[in-house]
Amino acid sequence: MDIDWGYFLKTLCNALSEGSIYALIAVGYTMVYGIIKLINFAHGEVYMIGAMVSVWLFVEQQLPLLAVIPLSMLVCAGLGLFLDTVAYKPLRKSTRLAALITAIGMSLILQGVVQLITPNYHALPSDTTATVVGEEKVEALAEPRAGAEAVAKVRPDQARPVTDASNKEFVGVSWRIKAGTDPVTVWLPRDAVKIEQGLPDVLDRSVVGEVAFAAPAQEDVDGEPAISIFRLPLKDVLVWITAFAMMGGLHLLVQKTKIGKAMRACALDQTTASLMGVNVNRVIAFTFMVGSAMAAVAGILYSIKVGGNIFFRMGYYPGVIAFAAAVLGGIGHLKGALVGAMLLGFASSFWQGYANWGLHTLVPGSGGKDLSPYNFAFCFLVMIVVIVFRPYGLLGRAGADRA
Amino acid sequence: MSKLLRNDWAWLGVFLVAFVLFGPLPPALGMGAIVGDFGVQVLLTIMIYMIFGVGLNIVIGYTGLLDLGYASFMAMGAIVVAGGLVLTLQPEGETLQVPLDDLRLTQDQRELEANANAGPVVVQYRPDWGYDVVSGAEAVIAAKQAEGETGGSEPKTLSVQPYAGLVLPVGQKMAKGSHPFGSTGGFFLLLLIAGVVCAAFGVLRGIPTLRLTGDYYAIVTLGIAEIVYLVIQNEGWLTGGAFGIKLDGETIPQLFGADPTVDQGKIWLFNFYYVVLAALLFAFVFSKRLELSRLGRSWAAIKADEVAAMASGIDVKKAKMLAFLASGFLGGIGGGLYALKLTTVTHAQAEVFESIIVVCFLVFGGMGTIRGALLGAAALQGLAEFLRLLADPFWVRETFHLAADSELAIPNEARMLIYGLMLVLLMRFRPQGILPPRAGSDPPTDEQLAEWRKAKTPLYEVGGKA
Repeated sequence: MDIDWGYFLKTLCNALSEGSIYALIAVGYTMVYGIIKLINFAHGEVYMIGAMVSVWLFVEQQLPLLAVIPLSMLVCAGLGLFLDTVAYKPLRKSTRLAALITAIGMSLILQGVVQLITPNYHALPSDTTATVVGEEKVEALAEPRAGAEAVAKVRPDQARPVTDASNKEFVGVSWRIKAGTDPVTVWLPRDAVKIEQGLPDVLDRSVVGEVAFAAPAQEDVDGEPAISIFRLPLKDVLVWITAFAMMGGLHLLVQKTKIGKAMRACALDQTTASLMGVNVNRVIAFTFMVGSAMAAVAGILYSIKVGGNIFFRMGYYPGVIAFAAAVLGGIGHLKGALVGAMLLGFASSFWQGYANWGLHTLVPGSGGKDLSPYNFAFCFLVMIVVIVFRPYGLLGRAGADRA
Repeated sequence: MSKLLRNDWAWLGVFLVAFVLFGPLPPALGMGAIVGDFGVQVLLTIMIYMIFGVGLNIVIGYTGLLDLGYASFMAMGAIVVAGGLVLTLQPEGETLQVPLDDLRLTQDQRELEANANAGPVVVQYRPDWGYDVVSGAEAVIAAKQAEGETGGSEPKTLSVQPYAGLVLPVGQKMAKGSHPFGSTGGFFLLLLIAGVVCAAFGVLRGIPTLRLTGDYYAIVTLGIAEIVYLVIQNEGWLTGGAFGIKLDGETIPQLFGADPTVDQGKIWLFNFYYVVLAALLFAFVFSKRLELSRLGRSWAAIKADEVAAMASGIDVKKAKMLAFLASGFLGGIGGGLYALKLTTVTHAQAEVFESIIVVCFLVFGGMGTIRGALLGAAALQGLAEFLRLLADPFWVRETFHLAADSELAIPNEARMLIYGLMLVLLMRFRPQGILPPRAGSDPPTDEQLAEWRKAKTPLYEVGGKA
């Protein structure tokens, strides 16, 4: 049987990226559950807000990507602290069911607030664009100078801006003034133009390397041997590196620092830890903040990798699947969250890539049946099977807490 | 007074009186309603959600398991009823004319590689798009090519044979009189089928979740509900997919001789209203009887402590299974009635938010009591309908006598926010709900105490014989 290796590598690359993003969300679930035994239902919404904030900072405020990451981590850490202080801290002594219902409530609240603020879908544009705002028509100048003679009036339209650092008041915009003519660079007043930053070309389109394989014979085009090319996008490499660096940093934080030791102590036994002088409430708040900051990074990576679909419900599926990943790896284990997330990322991506192919090979005559929308269903199925048969997860020990 | 507040029957009486008072008037009195047509629709929704609340209360309130997947039952009941109403029995060999454009071929059939389809054209109707060609693709391709050559000025039809067996309708609809589910009895049978299907699904879902409690049970039911949602969304041949199954005057059954197409459906609506009210009464009595039965006591024991219940000789597995079954049955009945109220059943019925709404009712009213479910459904569903009105600036302007250019309105999205706030605040300040059950059971009344004092046999007797 011939294998389309280019397609296979593409699926593999998507699987790794998806798994990295789930892993960053899953650590938040697993750390919180490890300490206070709460499924923080609102964690998916923290991820959603991380993506929203980073897109807003990047597109509307035009901050560089390296500034966006720490800023939205900070925002989400604050959100995590808020969630813990306002919603969960008063319920420490009540039943776990009450805490879970509160978490569901917080999730609804965060979704509702975001929906009220941004009713429209947001997407990360792949191009930087300039749009005339405010007036219907704005006079464009030939040179960036106040009082220079007007070239034409331009309508609200989108075009690529050429910003000139030496002149703060005007923005050069490459505009097609008449249909059919070559675009010319005209200068518009800075406050008449709204610039939406897109991903830099280097990041958006660059390819780290490419490999060509001989494609399976039946896909020959015009008698020439078809090749299947795999291009490794820079985006994906960035996602992997960031995710693994974050996970590594988290591992060091938990294993090597004093607060990490306190977190581990609280996970083992809160009462004893408090007797040893650990401020349990502060540790729990810190855990929420770290977990939420990780979710924010996941949100940024998602918006870089996918670029679209950023709206108030986006946190729900990744949230549930990341929880499934945390359970799959053994809830309470950082390494388990990584392993579980990678497994589910692979399950989801390879299901999308190969489920139809498998069905058509195994069941002849299954014609138009499309199985690819069921990738999340497959993840949920994995979660259910794990919870039912091995509730302590792959890396967990039997006899550990199973809710 | 507080004793009356904690009496389920008193609450049922209050709601029944309200529903009868504000419901549609009988045909003899001119069919109007005090609250208007919109009000009647709101009352119908509230009653149906009360059935859902009572059904879910069996699992959440009595047995103490947080079920986050009740929307699956609501949707499945609705789909069974809506699907059953549009279902027809097609005899073999009958032919009918179908527009050529509505015939759909798969990729394999278009290339005629997988199976060269000679012979008569057999089609199967899908509610979301036209007709799937089951066999005979060759003739369809030939006809389509011929149409392309002649220019296709007028829509051409092709004579096809419907796929034999019980299928969704092909071409002409059956006359209502001859439809198996078109009459009152047929509809009740269909409702029963919906209940049984959902009860069976409840038991099926119980198999993997039997050993689970607490938040793992919640998350597994959520996962199963998501799988059901994805199946309903993607299996268009069965559920209509994203477009859903639509019911119209032709397919909505007659109720007690009233047809929805006659006299703007007023008499039908009156009959339907009282059918729903009867179903609510049934759900209440069913649930109340269960609560007071031996089974209800074992549920309470499981809720208090599963291990202790097991040690006391309660068959925990059987009791839980029966709870899933009873809850699913009521969900199916309610869903079936909801299908007639909505007239369009889509996958949106199976969303997680729908489950969470019903959980909100129970949390609001107080988990574990039927009165809580009734009160929660009435208060929160009423609130939701009021918010829907508030979302309309015209209505706000007219009702509150605001200036003519007022655009004041609360956006529809606020509903989710308000439900979330309510959950959080209730859990923080009154986790037992508005009308909580008493710790233990209700205290005995004075009459009961007097009767017990008069009784010769002691209340407890060592040795078992009482």
